[in-house]
Amino acid sequence: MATGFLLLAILAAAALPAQDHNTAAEVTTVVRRIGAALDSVLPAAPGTPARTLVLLVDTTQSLKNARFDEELARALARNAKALGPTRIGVSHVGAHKPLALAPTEEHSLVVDTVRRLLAKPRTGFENVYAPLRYLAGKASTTRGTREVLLVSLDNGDAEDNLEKTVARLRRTGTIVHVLTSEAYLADCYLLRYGNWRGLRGCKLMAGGDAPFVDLPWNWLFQRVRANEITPSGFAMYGLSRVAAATGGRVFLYAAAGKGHSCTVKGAAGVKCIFCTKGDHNAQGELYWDGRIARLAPQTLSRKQAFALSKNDLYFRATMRAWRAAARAGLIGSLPPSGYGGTSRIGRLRVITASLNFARNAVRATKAAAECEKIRHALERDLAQAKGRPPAQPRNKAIAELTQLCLQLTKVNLLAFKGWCEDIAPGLVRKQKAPVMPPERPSSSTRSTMGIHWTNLCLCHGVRPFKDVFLPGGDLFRNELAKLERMWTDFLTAYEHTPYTVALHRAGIARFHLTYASGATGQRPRPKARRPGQTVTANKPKRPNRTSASGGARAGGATTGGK
Amino acid sequence: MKGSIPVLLLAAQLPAQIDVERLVANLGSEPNAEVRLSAYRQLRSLKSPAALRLVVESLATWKHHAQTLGTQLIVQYPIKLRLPALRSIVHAKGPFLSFSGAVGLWRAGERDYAAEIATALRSRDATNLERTSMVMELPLVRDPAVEQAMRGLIEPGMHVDLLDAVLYHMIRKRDTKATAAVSAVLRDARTPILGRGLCAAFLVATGASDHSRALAEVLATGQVPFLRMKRYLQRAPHLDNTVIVGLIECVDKETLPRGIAAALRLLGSAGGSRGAPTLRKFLGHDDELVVMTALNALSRLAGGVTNKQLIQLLASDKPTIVIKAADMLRRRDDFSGMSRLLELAKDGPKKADAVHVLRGFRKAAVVEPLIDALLDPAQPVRVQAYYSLGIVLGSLFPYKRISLVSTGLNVAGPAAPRQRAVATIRRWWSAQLAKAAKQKSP
Repeated sequence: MATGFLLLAILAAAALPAQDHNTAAEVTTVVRRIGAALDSVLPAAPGTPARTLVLLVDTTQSLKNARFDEELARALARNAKALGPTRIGVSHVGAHKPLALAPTEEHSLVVDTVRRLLAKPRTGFENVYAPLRYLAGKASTTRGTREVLLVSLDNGDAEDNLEKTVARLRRTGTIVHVLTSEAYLADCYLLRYGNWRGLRGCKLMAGGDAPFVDLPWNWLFQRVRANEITPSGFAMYGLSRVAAATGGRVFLYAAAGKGHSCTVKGAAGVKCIFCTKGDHNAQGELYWDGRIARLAPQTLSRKQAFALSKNDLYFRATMRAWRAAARAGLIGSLPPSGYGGTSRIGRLRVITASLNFARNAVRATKAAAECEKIRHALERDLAQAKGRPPAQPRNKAIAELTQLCLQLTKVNLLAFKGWCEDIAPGLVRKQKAPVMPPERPSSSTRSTMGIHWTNLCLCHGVRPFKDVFLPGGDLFRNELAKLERMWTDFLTAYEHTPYTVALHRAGIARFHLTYASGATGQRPRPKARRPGQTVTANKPKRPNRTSASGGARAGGATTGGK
Repeated sequence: MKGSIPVLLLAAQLPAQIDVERLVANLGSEPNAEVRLSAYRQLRSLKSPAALRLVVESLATWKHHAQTLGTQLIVQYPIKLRLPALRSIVHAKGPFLSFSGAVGLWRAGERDYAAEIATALRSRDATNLERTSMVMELPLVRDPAVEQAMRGLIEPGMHVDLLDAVLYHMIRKRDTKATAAVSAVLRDARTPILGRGLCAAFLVATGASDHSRALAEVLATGQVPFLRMKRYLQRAPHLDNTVIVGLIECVDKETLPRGIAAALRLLGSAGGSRGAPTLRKFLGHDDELVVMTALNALSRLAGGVTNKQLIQLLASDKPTIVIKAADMLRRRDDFSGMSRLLELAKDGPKKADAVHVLRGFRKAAVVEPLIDALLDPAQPVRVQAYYSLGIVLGSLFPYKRISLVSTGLNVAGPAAPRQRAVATIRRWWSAQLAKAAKQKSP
């Protein structure tokens, strides 16, 4: 009996057609208006005898703000003839019985239903895959072409069983199109803050646009994790996977971009010293379709994608360097391991805890030497891989970016060494050295508590820092010059891609002292819970995050400036 | 003795009375507009009851432009004097006076006068000029009956200025109830090309994109001054490709620099990348306003203007254009414009602007020229140099606390202490450069 089932399963798997599209670029289209996506999905192919289209709507506030109901009404009116024999149903995410309107030819009911659903938008994480499986089950009872348009601007990362969903959709011949927003580049946010409960049998999957977090994150002396704010130019992996596997399309929706902003909103401790009122026009952040298509993430299953990458020399070199950097405490994360495994949070080297500046300088020098060793090893690995085509160009881009991040970490360590030797002793000395005006002496008489650091962002590149008077002497300047050379080479290949934006979000560390009762550095004491106060976390809410730029494939500077 | 006091008082008032009479006479019948306006201003500041009485008595005999000033003068009076005067002109001869009086009373809270306003608007006795003036006063009145009467004015063959006033009033209020009537005027053969343009622009501005072709045809002729249609088109929610093509042709045919600039501004905001080639073409125009508008519009478009084109503009003989181009390049991390900017900061009519823009260049090379600019004879230049230097030094020395005031610098103060303060800043800067050079050498 068991053998019979196994045989049936094998036969069923063999009956499934091979997936046509292996990268997200092959299935993704960027739209500036929701109506444009609807105009692509609504018309039936000429000669279609019967067709059922179900709108699976994730009724979030952002969808309501985008006026989806109005756009839908207009699109239905525009495509009234092209719809042909299409019966349209409405389903919604997060409900026990997802079908809100059975497929009908009365299209005015569709808009009314969507409007009613949007009247009460849902907050929090939603699993969009369970209703897709439900609709796939229902699809077997309908005639003709079966299509689903999943409209979800916020979700896609809460998964219960993605591959089961894909298999069921393919078995029933259901085509899934997705209208969604842009994901972040190898997003690690959920790894850092992923301790949400009450997700009803599903798990939050990190990785953003990719099957797993393949870009090293949480570098030493970096306030901002670029993975969490860099728009990738593609949708969430799960959504791209579903669309690619079923022969559908992904429509990335974003209104016109706000343009580049040097300082990311909400990223405390990042400052741009080269901007006048944030008027920077970062031309390199405007994504070019041709370039980002080449660097698109995989839409294969996680297992297949990892297996493909595993044998790639560039990927292996990155993982080796990542592991070594994590061991040395230069990066606060661990690389993904095993099939379907994902990255984990790691421990950063504690280097700024002591006020013994001489010892700090020695530690920084040692760490810089380790960093250099790892970078050299990576360089060697990449030299070996040179000439061999990477399994995925994305892996090569990530390897080269990692090399650059290692050099930046070294520069920051030398900046710290320079600060400990040249500046910090003068700040704690009781008898302050006299300074010539217009310079003013440090006026603090409070007792020193620790060392704090902020970032001077690199969105203008490394070159302007050559004019800035930074501590560290010749050694620091030489390493900065090296960083600039590497930076220039990197941008030649990867300008106008998310990797440029990720790089721009990094920064040169600027150090300062914190004082016992000052405004800086004092850790806020947690408030005691009042008697009877309870913490309720039944339904976790999605936190706000600010993108490093405007929107879908916006990069930073779609508008070209302000 | 008892009778002598009023006589004396009368004698004291007499010159003022004569003066008021002369002013009212000037207001009503002086052909020179300057004199008329001067009389209006004086009477407005006097607010003499005698003048009010004289104005009310003679308004009906005045010409339209004088009547407009007269009615404006009446509404400036305190409410106790104003209301009786307005009531008397409501029933005066002529629809314009009747309208003005009714509007004044309506605004004072007497809402029954809406019917009078509507009647005056519909009156066949009113000239086109009077009706146009009436419609221009309508934003002050919000009443459905009045709005209805105003919409009733739209008919084929109506005067183009009146049509413009009515359409503009409606587009400002987002009133789309008369689109059918406007379409009829657009279709009417008697409507001149300007009227057709206004109607089509109005209809497109209300979102009726099926009139885009008509609008594009009018624009393409170049016979309608763009400034007449600007106020409609800039309110349009969307301009489709047909209109953009028409707009491009219109820009080419427009002769007035202000008209070209307005059209380019619209092309930049509504045309997107379709308008970019035309905008680029105008970078070489003779007029500074046109070039600046094209530059500003291009700067908002992705890939609108290349660095190469901006570098070409650095060779312009117009300082404003050079400064703008240098600043745009700097925002793109290209410092090619710095040397030209330094030249302009040293000498030229736009020194202060150049020094202002120099603050964006956080480079050691700009420090010395900015210190020099602190001693410039012109105070605006010194003020800009003070702020710019503070910003640049703050960026170049992230580990230092810098305050130019600590040197005793006062850009608005006497020259001698300023020179001493600048000498201190210069010494400090030289010391920093020497220190950096020492660190670099092994």
